[in-house]
Amino acid sequence: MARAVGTETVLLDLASGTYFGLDEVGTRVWELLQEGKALGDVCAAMASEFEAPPDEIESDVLELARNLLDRRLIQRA
Amino acid sequence: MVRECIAADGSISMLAYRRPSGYLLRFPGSADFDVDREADVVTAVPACDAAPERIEVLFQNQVLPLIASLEGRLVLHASAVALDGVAVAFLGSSGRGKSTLAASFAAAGLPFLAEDSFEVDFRDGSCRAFPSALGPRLWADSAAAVLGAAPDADAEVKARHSSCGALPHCERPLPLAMLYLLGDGSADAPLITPVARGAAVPELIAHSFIMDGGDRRILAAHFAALARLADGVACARLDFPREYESLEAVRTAIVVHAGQPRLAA
Repeated sequence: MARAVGTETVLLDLASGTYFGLDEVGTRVWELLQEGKALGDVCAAMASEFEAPPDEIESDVLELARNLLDRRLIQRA
Repeated sequence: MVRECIAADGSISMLAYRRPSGYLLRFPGSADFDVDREADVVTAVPACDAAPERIEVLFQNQVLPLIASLEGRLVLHASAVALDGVAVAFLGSSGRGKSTLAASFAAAGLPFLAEDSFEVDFRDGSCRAFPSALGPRLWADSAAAVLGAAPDADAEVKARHSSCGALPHCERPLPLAMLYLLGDGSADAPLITPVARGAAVPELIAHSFIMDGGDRRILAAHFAALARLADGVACARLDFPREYESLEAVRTAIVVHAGQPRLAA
């Protein structure tokens, strides 16, 4: 389950009882994933919203997605 | 077993077991508490040499908060003081100085609200801190330094100090304005650093009471309440040298930081 806290988001894996915090940028990625967007679309949306090189954004989004996947906070479609 | 708590010295301070009718809470060397949720009864079985006051403190500061968590209520492991109509709380594991700091405020005329734990609730969009039933308990050296009391010969027993009854005690709930996470005392001077609201949630989890984190319904409610708390109440780290003579400077730093500078005088 997820809760917005200020501009951030805190995630809880109910099965393991572990927590995971997302900063403002990570929160935006989380929101886009919750909308059901594919990773490519998430990267494109983030590139349009944030001033950073597209390859850097793609790298950050993929790393975050891997972290979330490892913690079973998201699932492969 | 649903929970095991380890004290700062590595010893087991509490074990919690799920039973058909409720829970068994074991405080090694002190007492067992049988929490019968069906009968709504708690039965204490003290160790043969356990002092009655120790049993009362365990019941008030540990057993009741853990039972509250089963009912979806949120109790923080923290002391709290009243600063001009709002509460500020000091969170930390045992030995970090929660009680000494709260008693120091009270000795300076600013009422303490809670010594070791207090319940919070949410009403009309704000968070309230409720006063605890017990007065401050201090180690003998802390009582002597903070309250000017005569040192107790038995310095190993942290007992409710007899003179604490004279300290001002706020007995009504107050809006909770600030949460301070107590550091390890390595700072050379009072040091306050803000904690991002999201980062505060795991910290608050460590300083709140939850009987049965294996129960998903309880865990989800607990998490939601802590996230709401972190969203509504600012949190900061507070560290200071653990020297009694520095307490006045610590109090001043806190009241200024908490937005009550006129109380610093």
